[in-house]
Amino acid sequence: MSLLSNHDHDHEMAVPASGEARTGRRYWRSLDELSDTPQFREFLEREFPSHASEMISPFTRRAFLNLMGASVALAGALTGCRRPEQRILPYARRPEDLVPGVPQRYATSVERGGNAIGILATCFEGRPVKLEGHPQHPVSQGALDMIGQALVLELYDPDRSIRPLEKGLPVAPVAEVIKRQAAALAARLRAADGEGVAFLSGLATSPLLASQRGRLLERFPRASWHVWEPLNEDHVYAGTSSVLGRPLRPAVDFSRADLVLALDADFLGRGVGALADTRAFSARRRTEDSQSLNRLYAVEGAMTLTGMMADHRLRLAPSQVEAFTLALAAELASEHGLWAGQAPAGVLAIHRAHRFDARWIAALARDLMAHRGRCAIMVGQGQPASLHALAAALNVELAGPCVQYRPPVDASHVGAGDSLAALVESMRAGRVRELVILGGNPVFDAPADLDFSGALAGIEASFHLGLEVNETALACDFHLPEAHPLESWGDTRAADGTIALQQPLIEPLYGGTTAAELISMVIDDTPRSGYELLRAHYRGAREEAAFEPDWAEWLREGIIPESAFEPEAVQVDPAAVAAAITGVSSPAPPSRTKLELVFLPSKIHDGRHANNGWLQEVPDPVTKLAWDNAALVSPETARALGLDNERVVRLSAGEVMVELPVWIQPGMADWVVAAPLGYGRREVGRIGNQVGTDLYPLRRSDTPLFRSGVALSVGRDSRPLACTQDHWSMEDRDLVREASAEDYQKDPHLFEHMGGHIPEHGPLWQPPLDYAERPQWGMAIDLSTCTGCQACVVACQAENNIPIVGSEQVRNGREMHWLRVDRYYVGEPESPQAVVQPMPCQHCETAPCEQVCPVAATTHSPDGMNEMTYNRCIGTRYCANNCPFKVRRFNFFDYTSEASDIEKMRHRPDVTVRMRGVMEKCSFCIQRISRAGIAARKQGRPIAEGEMVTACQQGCPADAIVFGDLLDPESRVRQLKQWPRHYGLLASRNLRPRVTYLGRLRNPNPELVS
Amino acid sequence: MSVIFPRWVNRLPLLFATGGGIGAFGLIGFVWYFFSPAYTDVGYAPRQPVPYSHKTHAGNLGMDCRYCHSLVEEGPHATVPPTQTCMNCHSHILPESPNLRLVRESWADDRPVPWIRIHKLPDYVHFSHEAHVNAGVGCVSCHGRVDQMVVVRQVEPLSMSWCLDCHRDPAPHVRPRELVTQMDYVPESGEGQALVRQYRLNPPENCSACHF
Repeated sequence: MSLLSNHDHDHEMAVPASGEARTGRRYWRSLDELSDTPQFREFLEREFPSHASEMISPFTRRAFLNLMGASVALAGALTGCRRPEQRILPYARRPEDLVPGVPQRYATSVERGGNAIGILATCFEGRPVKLEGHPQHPVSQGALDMIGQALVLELYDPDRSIRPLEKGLPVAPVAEVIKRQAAALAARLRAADGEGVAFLSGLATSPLLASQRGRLLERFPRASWHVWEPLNEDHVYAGTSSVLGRPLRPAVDFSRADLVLALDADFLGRGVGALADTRAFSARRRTEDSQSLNRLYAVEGAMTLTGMMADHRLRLAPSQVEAFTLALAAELASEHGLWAGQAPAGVLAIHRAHRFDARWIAALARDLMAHRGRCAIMVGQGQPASLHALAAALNVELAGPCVQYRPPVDASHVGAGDSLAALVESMRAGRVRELVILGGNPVFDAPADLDFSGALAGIEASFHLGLEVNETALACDFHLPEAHPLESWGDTRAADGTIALQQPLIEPLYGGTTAAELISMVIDDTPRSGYELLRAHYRGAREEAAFEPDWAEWLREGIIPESAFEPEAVQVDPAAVAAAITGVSSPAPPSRTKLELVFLPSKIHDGRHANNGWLQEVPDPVTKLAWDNAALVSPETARALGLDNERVVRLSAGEVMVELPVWIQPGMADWVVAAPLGYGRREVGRIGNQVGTDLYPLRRSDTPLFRSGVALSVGRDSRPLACTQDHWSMEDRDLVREASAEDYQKDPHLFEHMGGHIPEHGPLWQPPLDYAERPQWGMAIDLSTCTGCQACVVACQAENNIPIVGSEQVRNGREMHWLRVDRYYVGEPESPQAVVQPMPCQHCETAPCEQVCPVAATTHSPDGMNEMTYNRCIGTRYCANNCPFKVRRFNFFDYTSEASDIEKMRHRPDVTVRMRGVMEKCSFCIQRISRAGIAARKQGRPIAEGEMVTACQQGCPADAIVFGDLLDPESRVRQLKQWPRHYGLLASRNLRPRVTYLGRLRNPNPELVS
Repeated sequence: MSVIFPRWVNRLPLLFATGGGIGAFGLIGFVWYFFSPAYTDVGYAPRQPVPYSHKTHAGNLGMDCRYCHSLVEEGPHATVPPTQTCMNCHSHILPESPNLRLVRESWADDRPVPWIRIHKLPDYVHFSHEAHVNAGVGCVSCHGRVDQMVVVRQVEPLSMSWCLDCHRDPAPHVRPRELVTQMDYVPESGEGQALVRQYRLNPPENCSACHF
């Protein structure tokens, strides 16, 4: 088995023989790898990057040794030989149903920027430690995206707002200051019926908050209420209201749509409702489950998850997408008779007078017509309202039942952009003298042209209620701490209208309040708690006794049944479509001097999650950059402008200029620069302050997600970026396998033939176990459905007490994620296709790591898992060296013991917190297996299918990860492993991994396959 | 030539060798015995803040262990009872006893009684009472005759080898499930083996059974 450690031999074997010959395609993870630069070779040949085993700041090695010496001395002197005395503190009164050490689960919900997610929270002894998707909630359906997974970390954030501020200075005690401020606010409102007072909230779906707002405006009719949300859907609603008559939100029914066209719409990535869309979309990427694969076309400027999943992807600057769609509509109308001669005026005029790939458009148009009634067109939020109008018109003709329209979840929805602009104007005109900001951070994220902070400074008094002491909190006169969603009573409304209740899992750690409670303090003579408000809202006029059973049921289930909206019937007004189209100017494509800047919603959303270490450290799903953001450019643009990775460039438009490092991203449209939003926070906390560069100064009200005419100049400096894409590289071995649906139908076993020769003699190392008894654990990961969204990575981090290590350590290759998602490109660097592959420990039956551990700290369990025993590990790292999949992680430092008591509350008590100097890796969530096993044994039966679910499987919105007992005839994983797409990695090495993969299927349009 | 070293010096190497050998063995023996949990932990009997006597309650009064340690069959922890359990009886019995001052205070202030932990496993060991009690392992096997202890003390080393002794051969410690709390139970000969088969016990010996 030493094949794997012999580098030369292996290289000789793997590259020419397997990498290219067998699959016929070359897969690469980075441009350095593709061109095989000397830097890349050096990187590859070392287990860790050079200097990785040296101490770098904040400690020098000497300082560290001093500290070590001191701590050893202290440990010796203070503890001596005495047994430390530990206390057991039982409850004085034990809560009903609480069994110490057994987790409890509660249904609740949270919202993010006007979108609700249902959550099932796991608590240990009253501490929420893990969030999972609520299975019955229409959005989450049991899965949860990475931001949702990471919310629990923010609850225990030591940098959270813990006390009120007056003029930036802390005041105490919390409860009294809140009461005092609310009383002062009420007095001002009463003085002139609310004249001169304005409220500003985020887009909130909460029916309770909406009713509180109604009551407030009824009581103080001259007060005003505004909303602001940096990533809003204003254009969607403006577009649909212009042609459909009222603001409606389109939703694709993926179960019906055989063809999806995404126009600058990253619906699988971070767009609205990615969670539900990913689940529904990926269900159509398994031929074994459904008869036909769907086909995805993506037109986009930056590389996104949607583009990575697409069967056909066209690189196009976002400013050109509208003209492209018009050309497509013209093709449809003139060549295929769409609208039957009734095409909106102006559409036909464009026919053939465009600069886009005519062959692509012709093929796409034919395919759309062939799938009439079974296709859907999606348009990104950043695209103008006129394109949303055109898309609605096209969808009504083409998509039929595949696109459904529902009203906005906030019935009194107004455009966030207009609302904020109106507020700023009133503030400048002196009509608003006092502003109450309920959550959010407009000082940081308002459009630059509005100069919100300037207007804020000019008014008499400003209040801010928020979770964190952010830029807005410090700019306001008064700041009050807000209770975290996991600490408060409330409700949310999902995109389809389903109402979910929000119940606290823990008392507010710092005594914060909620917006609804604050309003109650202002308008009610006897202020009511969030609980009373929520109950009163839903009880309505019903008797308490009649309401109680429903209430108990809703709280238990988390959602209120039958509260969803029905899809609405829509009719297009052709005149409105024509009007929308005629207004369209065809902007010039970006060029060398006038670049186009694309603002990407990031893994920290709009910046609000900047102090969340898990989100900062998880690599971006596409670029694989952890921590800082970068200006992403295409290889061609980089060549033309003389840019290289990490070179700092200046992006300027008008007077405004920002500086950030460059990262060359394959698949970008030329002359487009894309950069994630929300970085460069100035006031957020120790994790997020000054991480990356703030792009908001370049973002204007009329250019929400892309801006043309941006100039770029190259600086001299470079700024290091923490990119993980070359870490743990596996050198051209045939790890990902893919085929087109057509080839697969012709030869279902073609995936098997892609593998190398499997030696017949069996392994030289004979495992001492026979794996005959149930359970035998295994996992199958479907590369066809996995989008690479990284929800599994954060789920694993939360479940297994995995620490974060910081940007510098990530650059050293010391990130601790037990599960990584490898992203491979194939094809031309300018416009490659991508494949993603989640890579946990493969749990090889003949594990190479076990054969080299000198202390038997990593061994095999009878149920087929490669187990890691921390207390035995002495830290030789031989195992990591011998692991062909590079999935072992080493604790170079002690990452957790200095955490404050509040931070430590987030740790699961049933997973050991590892110390410095030990190896760790994926354990198949052994703590869950152990619990399920004890419960099953108690009843004298084996663990049933579905009782044991790993954290990554549970978090996965694409349902790509399936775990179970290989010997259980009922288990899904057993069935999956019999599908012909099934293959194991490095089969020629006889590793017998328990984690195996299902090959990726693509469904290209035969017309476009050259 | 004069003699520099006296003759007895010739015996020194032998003396050193023997002394060193004995010393080395002695040292190993010393560490073997005195550093092991069997010496360091067994017999640990701290004074508890409330002088609660298991002998009185479990022995003389014959209360079942599960009256207080009520969740031992349902969760990993045997659970030290909440103050509420004490007050069930002691609001009527000895309500004024000075020994129960802390218990009454705890009940009044809703604050825990700070008991001192006796049986402690390292953090990297995940032991579950639920798994063992439901497999028919009696309380007495690990905790000794608690019903005879006025002050509870640790009677077993709780070391890994001690755990494994039983995992390798569980029969001597297995009894009918319904009798796990009976302190003076004496199994009939062959009963353990029969129960191991009947309960289909297969105690794990791999690392991750306890370490994760």
